[in-house]
Amino acid sequence: MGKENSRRSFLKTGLASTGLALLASSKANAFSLKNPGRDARDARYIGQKGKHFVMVLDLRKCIGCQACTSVCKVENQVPSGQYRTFVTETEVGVFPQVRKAFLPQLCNHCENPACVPVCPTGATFKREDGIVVVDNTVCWGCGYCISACPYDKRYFNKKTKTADKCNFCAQRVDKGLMPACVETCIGGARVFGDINDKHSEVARLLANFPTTVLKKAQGTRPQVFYINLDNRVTELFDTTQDLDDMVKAEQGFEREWMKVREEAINNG
Amino acid sequence: MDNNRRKFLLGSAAVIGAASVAGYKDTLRAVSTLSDKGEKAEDSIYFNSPEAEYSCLDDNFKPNERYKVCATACIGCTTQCGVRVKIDRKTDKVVRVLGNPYNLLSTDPWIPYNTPIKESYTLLSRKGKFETYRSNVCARGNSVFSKIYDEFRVLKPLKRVGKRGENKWKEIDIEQLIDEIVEGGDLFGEGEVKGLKDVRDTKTPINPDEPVFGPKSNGLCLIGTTHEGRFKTVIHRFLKSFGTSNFMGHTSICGLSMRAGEAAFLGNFKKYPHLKPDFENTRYLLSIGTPPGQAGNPFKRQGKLLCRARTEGDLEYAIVSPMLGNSDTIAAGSRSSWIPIIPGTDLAFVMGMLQVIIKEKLYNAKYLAMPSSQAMKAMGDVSFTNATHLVIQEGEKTGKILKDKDGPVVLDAADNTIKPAAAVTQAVLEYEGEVTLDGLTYRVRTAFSELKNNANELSLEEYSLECGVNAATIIEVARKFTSFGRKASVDCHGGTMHTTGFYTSYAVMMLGAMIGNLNYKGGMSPGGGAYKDFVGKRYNLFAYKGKSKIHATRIDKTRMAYEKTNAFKQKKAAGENPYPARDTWYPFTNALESEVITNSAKGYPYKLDVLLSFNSNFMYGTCGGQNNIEELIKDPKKAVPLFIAVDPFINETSKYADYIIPDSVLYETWGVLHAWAGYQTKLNTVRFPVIKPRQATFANGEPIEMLSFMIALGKKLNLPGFGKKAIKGNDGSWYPLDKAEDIYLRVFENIAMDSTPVPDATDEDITLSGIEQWVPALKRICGANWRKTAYVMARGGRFQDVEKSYQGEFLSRKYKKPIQIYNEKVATTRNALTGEHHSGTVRFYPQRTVKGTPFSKLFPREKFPLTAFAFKSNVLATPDTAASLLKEIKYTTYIDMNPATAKQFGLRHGDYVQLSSGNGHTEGYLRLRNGVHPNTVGVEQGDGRRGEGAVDVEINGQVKRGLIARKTGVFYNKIGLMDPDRELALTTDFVCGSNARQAIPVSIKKISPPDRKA
Amino acid sequence: MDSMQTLISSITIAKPWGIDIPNYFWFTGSSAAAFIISSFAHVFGWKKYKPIAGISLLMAFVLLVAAPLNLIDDLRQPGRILNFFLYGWENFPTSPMKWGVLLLLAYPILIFFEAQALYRPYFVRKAKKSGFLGKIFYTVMTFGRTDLSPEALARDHRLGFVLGAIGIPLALAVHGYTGYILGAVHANVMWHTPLMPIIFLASAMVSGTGLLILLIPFFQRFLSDRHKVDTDMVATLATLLAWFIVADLVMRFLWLTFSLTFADGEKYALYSYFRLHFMDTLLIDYLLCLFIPLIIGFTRLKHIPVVVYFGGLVTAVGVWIFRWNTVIGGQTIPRTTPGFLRYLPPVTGQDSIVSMLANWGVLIALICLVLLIFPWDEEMIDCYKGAEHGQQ
Ligand SMILES: Nc1nc2c(c(=O)[nH]1)N[C@H]1C(S)=C(S)[C@@H](COP(=O)(O)OP(=O)(O)OC[C@H]3O[C@@H](n4cnc5c(=O)[nH]c(N)nc54)[C@H](O)[C@@H]3O)O[C@H]1N2
Ligand SMILES: Nc1nc2c(c(=O)[nH]1)N[C@H]1C(S)=C(S)[C@@H](COP(=O)(O)OP(=O)(O)OC[C@H]3O[C@@H](n4cnc5c(=O)[nH]c(N)nc54)[C@H](O)[C@@H]3O)O[C@H]1N2
Ligand code: SF4
Ligand code: SF4
Ligand code: SF4
Ligand code: SF4
Ligand code: SF4
Ligand SMILES: [Mo]
Repeated sequence: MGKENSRRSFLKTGLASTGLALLASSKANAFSLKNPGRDARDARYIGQKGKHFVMVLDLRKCIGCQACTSVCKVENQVPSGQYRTFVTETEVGVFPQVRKAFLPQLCNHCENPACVPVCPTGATFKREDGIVVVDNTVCWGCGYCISACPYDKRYFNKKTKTADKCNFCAQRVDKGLMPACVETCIGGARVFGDINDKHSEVARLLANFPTTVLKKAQGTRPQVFYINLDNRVTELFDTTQDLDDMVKAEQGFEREWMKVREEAINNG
Repeated sequence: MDNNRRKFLLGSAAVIGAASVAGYKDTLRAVSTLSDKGEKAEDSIYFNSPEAEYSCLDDNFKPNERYKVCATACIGCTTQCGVRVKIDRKTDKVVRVLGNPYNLLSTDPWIPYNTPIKESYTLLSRKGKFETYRSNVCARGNSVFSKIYDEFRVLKPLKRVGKRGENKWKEIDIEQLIDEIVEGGDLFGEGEVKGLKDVRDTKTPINPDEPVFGPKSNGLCLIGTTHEGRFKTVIHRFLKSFGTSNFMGHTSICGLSMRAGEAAFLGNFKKYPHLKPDFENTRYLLSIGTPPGQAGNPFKRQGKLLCRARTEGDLEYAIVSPMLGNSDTIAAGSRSSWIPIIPGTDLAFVMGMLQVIIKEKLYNAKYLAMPSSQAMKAMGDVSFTNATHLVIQEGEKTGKILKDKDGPVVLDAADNTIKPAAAVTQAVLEYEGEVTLDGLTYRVRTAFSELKNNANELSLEEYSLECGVNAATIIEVARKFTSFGRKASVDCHGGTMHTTGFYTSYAVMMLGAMIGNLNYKGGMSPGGGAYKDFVGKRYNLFAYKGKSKIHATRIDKTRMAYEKTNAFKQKKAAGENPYPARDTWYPFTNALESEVITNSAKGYPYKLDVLLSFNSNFMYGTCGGQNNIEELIKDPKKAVPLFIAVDPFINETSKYADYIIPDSVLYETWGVLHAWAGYQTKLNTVRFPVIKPRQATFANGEPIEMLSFMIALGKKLNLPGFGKKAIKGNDGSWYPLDKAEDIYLRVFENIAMDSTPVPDATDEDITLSGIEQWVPALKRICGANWRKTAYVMARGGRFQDVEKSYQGEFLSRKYKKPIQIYNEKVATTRNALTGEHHSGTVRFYPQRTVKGTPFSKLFPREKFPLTAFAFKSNVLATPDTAASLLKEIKYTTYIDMNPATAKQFGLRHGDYVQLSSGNGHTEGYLRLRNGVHPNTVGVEQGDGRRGEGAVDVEINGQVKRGLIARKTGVFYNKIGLMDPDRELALTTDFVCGSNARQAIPVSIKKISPPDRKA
Repeated sequence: MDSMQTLISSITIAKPWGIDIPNYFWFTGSSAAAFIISSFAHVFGWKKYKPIAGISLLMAFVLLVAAPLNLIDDLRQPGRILNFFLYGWENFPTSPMKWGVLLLLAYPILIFFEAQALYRPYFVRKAKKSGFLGKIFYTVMTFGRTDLSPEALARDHRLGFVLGAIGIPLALAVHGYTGYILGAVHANVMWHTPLMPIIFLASAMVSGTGLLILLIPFFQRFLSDRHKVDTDMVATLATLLAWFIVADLVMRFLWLTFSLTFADGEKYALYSYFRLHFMDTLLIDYLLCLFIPLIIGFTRLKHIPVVVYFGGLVTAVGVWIFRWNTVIGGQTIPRTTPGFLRYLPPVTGQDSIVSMLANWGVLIALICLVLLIFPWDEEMIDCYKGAEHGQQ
């Protein structure tokens, strides 16, 4: 194909897409206060009526096995080097008074999310059932929500080039199933459910045990609750350095890693 | 402004402007065309997450036609959990892995076996009983499928073109490959190679001087891995039929110390049973060198039960280990504790505990005083020991247990007279003196007194000094352990893989005997067993026409005593001291893969002709393999004239092979599995290909893999048990063995038909479990029973219901033989190098060579100030390196050290360091952590690879570059030691011969990091 | 090293904003400063600044035309720019980005009209003198008002005044909003202070003045018919710069003392940050880039142009570094993961060193064009004439 051709097709697609975009926007209520999907009351955007989904992390039941991390990446096709959830593992104290500490982390689906109100396109929002989601067809990739999240729980999805994060596996929850990490949690630390249902396990745990949330002072009112969370585990900036980053950089493999992992994912 | 300046400005504006716009090219293009960047996601809200495999809204179950979900097994590690695999019907690719709710290795409690498949899904929905039946898969299990699609996977048979180990190959036809290895000849231009046809000589002795060594056909040896479900069906059949007794799994580099120590304790060296705590109900767990949740078998189940027991139950536990494993969490509060210990010294710790228990009489005296099963029954107990049995101290029979014609005799506690054990309910526990039996007087000691004697050999302070655990802690743990009645338990495993591991494991189990916890709910369990599979109602799959029985000495000198050889007999006859033998012998060890190459190299007992490796990676997994065996395996003349590897990957071992035969991976394979201990009900997990194997096929369309290769080879060599009339039905009819399904569907049928046969699978069961494609084969092979067999396949096996676990306070399935406080077999076996008898019961030994030279003498502290140990990764496992997705979860491994020790050595977090033992060295980045014992270095196992995609491979002239991501991390086993007291051998446990990977004395120094960019 | 917590396993999260963003902040800030300086003459009628008011206004304009390119380039989906205008209006009150972009659009238009008013008489004259194309162009630029009567000139003047007066808050808002964007992020200990817009403004005045100190003498010497630098003006700007530095330092003092001492628990992360970056921040950002120009502006050194140019340069660079330290540094502070991040901008591609250089290229090209189009040198010479007249 000649240069000429590609240029012309470039122009054509350009014109076409401009036209389409204008068309689409004029059709799907231009100047939406929210976004078209929400205006259309699409079930994926509205969530499940009358429910309010939360997660309880019973740390007594966590063995830091990273099964959750692993399944989340597979279930959600999270690009290589990116994570919707991870379990930080540290050792607290000085020998011999040392304890292991695990902190499974994911989006807190905050009742008062810091990420949502700053979004200039309305791409991210909280569904009526409490799940905070991102519409990857609207997001223009400004990164404001990522900066705003006090929990570092958002990232730019390398593939879609839009903000991404845990969405409580809405694709499963909307079909009546459990989020993948909850299904696979070995210790049973991850408990998920509708807090409006008084018989749910989450309701039972919240009623019977004192729980904490991460960074309460941020005022975000997280909907991921921890049982037996030790204070020290939430202050991680003073731990020893994460050598993985250094090793990756020093061994100059970062690129190769991307390649291999992306292949694996594509193949998988 | 003058014109020049104008021109200048205009020119600048044009040039710079154009350049800048070019710099913004992509962005501007996107803006100007309003086009998206990146890839469009599948869904605006759900991103690229695949659709759910079914939906269950408002009690409405609806399967998703895009996928099939099949029950199979994960072999991401030796736990072998039953899982379900979600497969895209269109692409036949694995999308995700889920737990199998019928299988106790993934679920607890598991759903009743007769639950329809449909209900097994709805139960796991939000509306079902999710919290009860949550079924899971670990980090590996979730990601490991990516190795199926790895670019380094071998898909066609390979023949080496360079020298051994050069990693240069060409692809060849499987038929040609089989011809070459059968016929032999000058296969590599390096001289004649003996083919399998000539090796298979079942008549001529391999060594005319030693008839016990057996025929020449023993020149073939197979080294496998764990029992992953294919060994007993076809492989075993081939080897037996071929006429070799040389086959071994990886136990000697895995957990043989534990297996042998527990076999001694349980008095069964035939079956090698082992015990596991009843995690669910135990009140106190003392785990020595196998932190549950960190690794261990069954990894997942243990982790889950631990979490539940410490949260909802009332478990307290202490982990004895040089490293703080993932058993602990600060969130568990005081339920969990860590007893840091110097590697290789647990024996001192446990002997100290035994001393305290005996001294303070914390043991269950009534229990130990029961001398027989009759006594046990009379006392309403469920296990008994030989603590009261009398050990002869003098004369011919020294070390033997005093018996009359019916069995052991004991001193009745009621009247202090000698009686048959069967006739006594309570016998004297402690006695040392003379007794008379059948008119003869013997100096005897009870087994218990023997134990007490040994336990008191060192003072508590001395024990404490050895292991670095203070005496007060030892006393405290001893008291605590004995304060829960029968509901306390012990465990040990990988931490005992050192030179005194056998007695360490034996001693750990001995603690259990002190409280009598065997077969008790909350105590120790031998596992739930399995339904009859290979030898069952419909078929005996071990039987075939022309089956030969080979009596031979194995290449590893196991299952045989030196005293049976002519060399011994001749020396003895000549009045010479028959000791030392040329090398060690292991009469009660089953197999020692770690001795094969070295023995063949030294030609003792003989030299091998052909090595067949099957999914084995002894060069990476054997401590000392890489540094000490490499030279032996590299040169075809030294140890292995012909080396054929069956493996889906070119690993550190198959790299040295002459031929590589591709194998199926994971869900592409057949298998029948049992579980290791740690469960109470019958279980058979079955596996059948749920996706099409990717590798090349035979002419008949069967994929090239271990089973089809064995069958083809068996037919080529005309071995009995292959081809027509190879499988025997119990009704007397014979069936052919041409394909794997011929045998496996019959095993499945046996399982289905055992005891009360399972119900018939419904059509719905069949579609919902994605086994439609097997229906024709099922009908053909299983006839009227096909729906029953399908029932088993649909559920991924057969599983007894959870209610069958216990009978009151006891386990339903009990271990029946007496516990050996004193093991006669061990006591009457001699160390072939020294001629000394092994101790019949547990006793303290420091780390030592087989001959008894202490490590402290060989490796002085001044030169080797640190003790190295290895620990399993909670995420990685060695067979999963090719699973790229797993690297996302754990990228690399480190050399772990306590910050205080690092300070002493002037080392810092992130330094690149080298560890050196007497025989090898390894390198890695230093990671400081408080969770390791000072003066030790710990290394997480599983990284620092030199195979499976870590190094360059040339195939058909094309080079595939190795990946840094696979090479990164620490290759611990390069520091493995040679035993200086033996001819060409690695350090081992001095009794059972297990490969010693723990407690290696090393020095450390800072070096500059490798420049991998160059 | 006896750290109470040793890390075994974690991940490091990439942050969204790269090198484009500090650059963007620097551009808008410098634009605001240039506008304010031009307003000294246009709005407040300070005669001293009259000769440079026009050129400053033009610089304010080009800086602000170039600046948004940074933003667009930082977007991962720049092709969805329409979405910004179409959706998400319910977040208008809470998303500084939402109203910031509106300001970004309004502000350059305003400057343009102000400049047009200022230069209209010159366009009229030019149109008369030029050839065919020039005539059309300049006539267009007059917006069809060719009247050069004193009333008309007075109207221009008034219009300039009004637009300038509106422009001042707008300029402050345009740059202030960037501070707002950061300040509103309560997740970021370094950014989260209500002072952030003012800190940004103060440092913007510093960088903008620094930039003018470099550009104006250059234009005067090499591009105008005057051919010589107004050294008095340079000295004036040096002193102005010094005062802005004082304001900047006061703001930073308030900020740091508060956030390091009185903030809640999160301040410990900030401690760690400054412990890590103490030397580079103190030496470069404060000592070299602020204190030295401060001394120059308040001493006789201001009369040595070369020294002042140096001062201008380091402040301009220094404020860029400050923007970098704030935007990038702020993002390196971990929130729920251990350890500080490292960010190295990619060399090419989106949000890279090349794209930042491209932005500077666009700026330079725009400067060239504006210098070509607007009769700034004539206006400047006129001013000097007037001023010199006035003085005598
Ligand atoms: N330092 C140190 N050494 C150790 C240990 C340790 O903890 N520390 N652990 C020891 C223990 S417990 C064990 S069990 C051994 C393990 O040692 P081995 O059993 O010898 O080897 P593995 O590495 O488990 O895997 C064997 C090979 O199987 C192949 N393979 C992988 N996946 C598949 C598959 O799906 N299908 C087929 N057909 N083949 C596959 C790969 O080539 C792999 O290299 O290592 C021992 N060595
Ligand atoms: N996650 C995970 N699970 C696995 C596997 C895996 O690779 N990963 N592999 C499976 C296999 S093949 C096996 S055999 C099992 C093995 O499971 P384990 O036996 O639990 O694992 P190892 O790491 O071999 O055991 C060594 C443990 O003992 C400690 N240790 C080392 N030296 C000593 C010592 O001298 N004394 C004491 N007291 N402790 C010591 C180490 O810190 C380490 O935690 O795990 C199985 N499960
Ligand atoms: S955790 Fe972060 S991303 Fe999730 S809802 Fe809260 S603020 Fe938003
Ligand atoms: S990155 Fe996307 S979702 Fe986040 S604030 Fe910007 S437009 Fe909204
Ligand atoms: S709920 Fe789903 S998306 Fe969120 S962390 Fe768990 S697996 Fe990942
Ligand atoms: S899967 Fe469960 S137990 Fe494992 S790390 Fe995640 S939260 Fe913890
Ligand atoms: S423990 Fe994990 S890796 Fe091992 S078999 Fe089970 S699921 Fe697979
Ligand atoms: Mo193992």
